Amino acid sequence: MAGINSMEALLALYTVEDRVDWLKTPTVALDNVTGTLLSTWAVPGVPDAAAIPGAAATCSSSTPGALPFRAITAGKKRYITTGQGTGRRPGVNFPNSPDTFLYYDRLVEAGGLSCTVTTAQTVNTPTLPARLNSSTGVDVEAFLENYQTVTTPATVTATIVYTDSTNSSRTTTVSFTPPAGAATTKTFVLPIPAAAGAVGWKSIQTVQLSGAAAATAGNFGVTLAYRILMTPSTVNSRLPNAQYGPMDGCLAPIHDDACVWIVVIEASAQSGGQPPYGGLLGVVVES
Amino acid sequence: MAIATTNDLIAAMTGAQTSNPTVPQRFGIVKTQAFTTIAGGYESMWLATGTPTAATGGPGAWATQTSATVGGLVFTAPAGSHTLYLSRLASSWISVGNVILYDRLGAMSGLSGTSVAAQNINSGALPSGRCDTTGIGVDWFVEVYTTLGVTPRTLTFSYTDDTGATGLSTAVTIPASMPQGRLLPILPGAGKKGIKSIETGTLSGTTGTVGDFGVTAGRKMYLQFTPYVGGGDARGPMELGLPAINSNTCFWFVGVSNAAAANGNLLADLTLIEG
Repeated sequence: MAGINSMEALLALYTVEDRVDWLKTPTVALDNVTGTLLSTWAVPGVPDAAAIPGAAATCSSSTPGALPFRAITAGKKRYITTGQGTGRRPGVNFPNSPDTFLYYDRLVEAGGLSCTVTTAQTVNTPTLPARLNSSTGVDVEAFLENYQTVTTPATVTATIVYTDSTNSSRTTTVSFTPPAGAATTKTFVLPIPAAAGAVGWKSIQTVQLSGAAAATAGNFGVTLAYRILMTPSTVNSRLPNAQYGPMDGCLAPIHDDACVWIVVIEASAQSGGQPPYGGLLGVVVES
Repeated sequence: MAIATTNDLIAAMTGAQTSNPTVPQRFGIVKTQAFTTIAGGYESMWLATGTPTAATGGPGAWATQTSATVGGLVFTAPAGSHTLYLSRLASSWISVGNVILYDRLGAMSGLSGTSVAAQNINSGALPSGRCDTTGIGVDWFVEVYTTLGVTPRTLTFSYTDDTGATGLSTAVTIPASMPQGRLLPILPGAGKKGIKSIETGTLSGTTGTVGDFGVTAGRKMYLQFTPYVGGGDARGPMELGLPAINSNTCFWFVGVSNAAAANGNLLADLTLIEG
């Protein structure tokens, strides 16, 4: 088969199950502001918590923390046909309900930046992995990702120097406030806006804080990622439900080496429920 | 060739077309609004930071808006004889309400909140191939780039309707302290079907602050519901009506909030396919 070129071809591929599921059970409260993005990267569960990154590195399907699809043989290609997600109304460690689920291919990560350093901190992310449609980074999103709580947090401006899809050096800023508390792992992600008139992200060179963001160093970094699929919940119930199939426009190609990373958007606090969980259903076809 | 069958559609969604096979273009949108919404208010994401990048302000004199306009989404034109289609739209917003995807056709700015004389708008011809150039089906708005003064005023427009009748009149009420990013729909006068162009706008008095506002025209592409804070919706090609996308389309997100909400993120997925 030379690709999914008919409904019959799609249906035929359904005969082989290609499903992967996830469930996250945080051990600390993942409080955040309603509507912001929360990373499950360092949250225990299935897949297990990822290690907090250090120096900039490329991520892949073998990076601990990545959603484990079964390997496919060379020359074949996987498409996501269905994306699902649900979550408990909050308990101890998930104070708000997760209601929109974003599946990213986590391309590059770097951690180890300090909230107390006010000089430019070098990141120098490596070349984007060759699994994207375009090596220019035109479809890539960038985030500040926080990994650790701090004492006496303050709101500061983070200035990011990066290279865009045209290889131009760009500078942009984002307001950053690390989460408060005694040092413990806690992750959230903050989208970094593109500089005026710029398109895409190829690499990040430095991050500089306008002042100390905390009394303790904490730990934060930068992440570059490609969005595979976004599945918002349409049902504001005790167990919100996000479920979309191929004719909802899913049919998203996903590289065999993709580092699938789950990000959630939390809604307002409710009570009771289940840990957040979901899954992706794929089909594999010869490319 | 156009998408004419279910199989054409499936092939286009996976890049398995029989001619010029082309991988779908997928875009992750993040816009951070820096203002508080009001119940029922139309909120433009044109100046909101994120991806795509924020517009740096209004254009001044009337200008047709395209995918190359700063603030628009940059995408690749279709290959060969292909037509480009919108095949997926997913969105989630900080507010309960609607997210509307528009093709931002044209805009002007630089109008003053203190001038009581007729101020020239002189919208140009609506871009052909992206809308009915008579103005039927085109939505017109007052768009604020810098917050206006505290005194509410009536703003009266002189416009031309879809039949070519000139010198017609319609009005909107500018509320107190109309903020940056807020939109006010401009409706055609009684018995009229559409606005083809707007020539002038006249305030009934000063709002108290010069500010900066203008007039924007857009064609609605899809109205999506965000049923509750943090939730959202996603739709595929059949529900979207598989709208054809002009190579110059200027994608523009507008939110309509059910209640006041502080600043926050609007996230969207947008997929373009070819066939």
